Amino acid sequence: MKKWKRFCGVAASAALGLATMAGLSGCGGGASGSDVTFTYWVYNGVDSAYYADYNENPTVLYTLEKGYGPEEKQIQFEFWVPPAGTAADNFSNMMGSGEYADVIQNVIGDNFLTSYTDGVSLDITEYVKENMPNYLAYLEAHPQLKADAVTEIDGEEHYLGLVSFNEDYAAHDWGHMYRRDWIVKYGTNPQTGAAFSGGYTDEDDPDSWEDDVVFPSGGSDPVYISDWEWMFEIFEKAYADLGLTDSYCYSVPYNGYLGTGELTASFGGGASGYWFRNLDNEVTFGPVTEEFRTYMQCMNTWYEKGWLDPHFEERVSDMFYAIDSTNVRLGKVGMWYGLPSQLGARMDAGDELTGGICVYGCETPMNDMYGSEATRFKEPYCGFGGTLIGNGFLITTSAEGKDLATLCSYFDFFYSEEGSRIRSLGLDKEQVEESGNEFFAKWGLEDGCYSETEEGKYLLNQSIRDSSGDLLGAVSCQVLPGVKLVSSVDYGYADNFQHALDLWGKYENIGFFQGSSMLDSMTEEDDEVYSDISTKIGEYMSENAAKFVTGEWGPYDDADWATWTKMMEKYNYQKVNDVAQKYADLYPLQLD
Amino acid sequence: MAKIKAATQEIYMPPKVTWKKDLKKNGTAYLFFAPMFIYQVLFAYLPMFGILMAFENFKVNKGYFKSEWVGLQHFVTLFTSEEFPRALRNTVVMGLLNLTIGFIMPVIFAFLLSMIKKKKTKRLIQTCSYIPNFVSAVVVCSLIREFLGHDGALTGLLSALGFEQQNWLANGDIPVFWLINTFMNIWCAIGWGSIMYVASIATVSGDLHEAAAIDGATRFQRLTKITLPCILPIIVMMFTLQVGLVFVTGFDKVLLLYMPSTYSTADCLQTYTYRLAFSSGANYGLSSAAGLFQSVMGTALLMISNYWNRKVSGMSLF
Repeated sequence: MKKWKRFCGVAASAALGLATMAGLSGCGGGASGSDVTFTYWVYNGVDSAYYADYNENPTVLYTLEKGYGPEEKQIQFEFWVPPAGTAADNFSNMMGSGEYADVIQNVIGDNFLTSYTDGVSLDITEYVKENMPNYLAYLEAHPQLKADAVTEIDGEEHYLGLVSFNEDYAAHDWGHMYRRDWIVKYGTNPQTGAAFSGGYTDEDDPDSWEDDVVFPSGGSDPVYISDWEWMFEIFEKAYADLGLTDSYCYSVPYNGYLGTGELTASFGGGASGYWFRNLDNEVTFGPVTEEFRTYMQCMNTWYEKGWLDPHFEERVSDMFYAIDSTNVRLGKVGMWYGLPSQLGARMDAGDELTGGICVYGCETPMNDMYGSEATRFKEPYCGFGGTLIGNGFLITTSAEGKDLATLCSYFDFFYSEEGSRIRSLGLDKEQVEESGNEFFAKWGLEDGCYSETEEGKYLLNQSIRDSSGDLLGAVSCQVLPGVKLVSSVDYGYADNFQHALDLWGKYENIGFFQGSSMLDSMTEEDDEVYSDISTKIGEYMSENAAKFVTGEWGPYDDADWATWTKMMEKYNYQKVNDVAQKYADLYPLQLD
Repeated sequence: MAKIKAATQEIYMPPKVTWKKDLKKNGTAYLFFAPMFIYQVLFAYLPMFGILMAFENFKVNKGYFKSEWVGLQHFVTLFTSEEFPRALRNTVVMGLLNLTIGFIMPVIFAFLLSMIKKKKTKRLIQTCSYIPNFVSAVVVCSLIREFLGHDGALTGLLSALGFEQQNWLANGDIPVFWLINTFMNIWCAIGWGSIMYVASIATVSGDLHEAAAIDGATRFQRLTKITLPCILPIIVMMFTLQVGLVFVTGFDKVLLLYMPSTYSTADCLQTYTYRLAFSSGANYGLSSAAGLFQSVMGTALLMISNYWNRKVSGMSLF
């Protein structure tokens, strides 16, 4: 009996030990064998409603059936897609382990030069020059993009990665919007004093609103800060009529400004909450400028008048495009920075405050009231705008020895006219038939993902336009390098909806360079200077900028302003000016 | 006290045996211990190698051996930064409040529990008190936000008592956030923290209480003269361990509750380092330096506390 007990004890402990060891050893990646099979790390997958594995992307599968390169060889991919929300951790693990995918969609990694010098990526100059004629032709046709794609080492041009390009500046994903229905209901024509009229012409169409609203500036859309303030006065009438005591007209992020530059740029063109380039290509630190101070004076005035969200400082966990979304959704706010899904009647919940709601988008306003002449009537040129540059792609040292000529030929296809269409929109009717993939029929795309209009644009299939998920993302293959079509695409939006998008993109972003390739190209040393100083300044600003809005510090008070600017000087913002200027000179402003 | 000392001295000490004999005799026990030992080595001791990061400009893709050695640069950055003194003060104050009020409450709770006669009632209260410990920090903080927001239940209560109607979490005055943090931690940990004491109290001989009761001792007298001395070694041990955690103020909850307007009182070393190290890019070196500083301070405090306990009460952890 004693022996039996002992045996059981040993067996149980051994099992426990083995289980532990098995658990510890359960991590590791697979490797690809053939020289035309490449592992491919993707930052984001697609909506799992369409497929769970990116290897099932029907458009990618279609393109892989063809042969590429001098030998017309087929290639294979093994996509590594991190679960949603884990991309950064997944990327760190991959980089830390040294087991890189052969190709990396470089959304969060180091720049090309750093990746190359760190031994992560390969110099693919030879392959690009020999196998990527479309890529080279695109760069030749758009020389302003060359600086992003080419790295100079010892006076020679090198391709250390591939860059995807956008055909044009993409439509904005968010912007300022306001309660147009309240303007109609409670406002009067500023010229004639007559009441406005308007409403939906089709109850089932959220974009069928029509009215005769005229703003003080004379047009049917708000253009100036004075137009905004005119609206705020109307919103106050609405609040009084509806008995709303906890409403406000507009909110700002908790730190007192939109970091991307919208609205701060209303007061003199640039002057975002960070560094920006002025129109003379000089790197400037926004928060110490007169323009930024004028912005603060305006916000302080709005705060004092009760137009600004009194609790804006507390909304720390709200994204800048969804501040106080609860009250916005409840229909208690007159104007906000929001998403396209809130335009028109899309927020109509049928209750007292949102019943009959009509939300219109508007452009970033121009200051015409506050500060000196230098801050007035200047077109904003800083903001969260689209760019002509997409993601970068690294071919890593893991792919060394594989058939990179074929790989580059494959990628080059997506820089051609046909390839960019496939990459951006998916397959047309003929290609769908040729592919024989049932996915298309399942999602109502038997007639192709798009069709050509009389104007020569590509109109997306109705199923894609109606899809609540990202069907376009599932049928296109934008995780691959290539050109993304923008202005050639007709999304089939209603006029009002399209008008809002147009207004959000009215002023192109020229000066705001955070997240741009200009910073991506910094050397490690310069990047550290930039990161260190911007972190410290950002820390100081997040804690103190809002004091100007609330009046704890007077935006009109020279002593308070001097305290603010001196602190910025102490953090040595000038050093970043100098460091960044080098790169601003290398990368020309993208002026049309 | 004399009884406890005497009891400690009478502990049986087994004769010394060689490790081979010991292994042969207790092989099964060692096998059971092995997984935990491996776990500790792999996840507690080997990662200590990462301390190197505190002295390097650590880059993930370069690893420990190829990253640039920067010596004490990260410590200099940390200690000379503008907000470091404020973060240190807040950390220490919140830590001390947790160590004093936060430590005493579970002990008192255990005493109160021990006085409940009905077993079912006692178990019910105990179970209810454990539940908050298993609620995630995010949920706890959401509840706190609801309760202490402009229209929160606790705000309403405080307003009825004459305090200004406000979002208490946005109040940067001393000591508002410190108290919120302390009482939140007490609510979360009071039940769980009392387990050791409840168990210890249960081991106190009923004969002592019976004899004292016959001699006319009140409940309070029995508590202070019998129960408390009997569980004092446990209290001392728990306190000593707790001292080492002074610098661990509950990073997750502070991070979820604070905001720039309350940095002056809420920002602690961990949250400050987190922002400094990870707000633009990842500075593993700086965050490791901050972590190492806190660990060293925690260990030093643990040693001091242990020494002080040995000096004053004659009892110590090691």
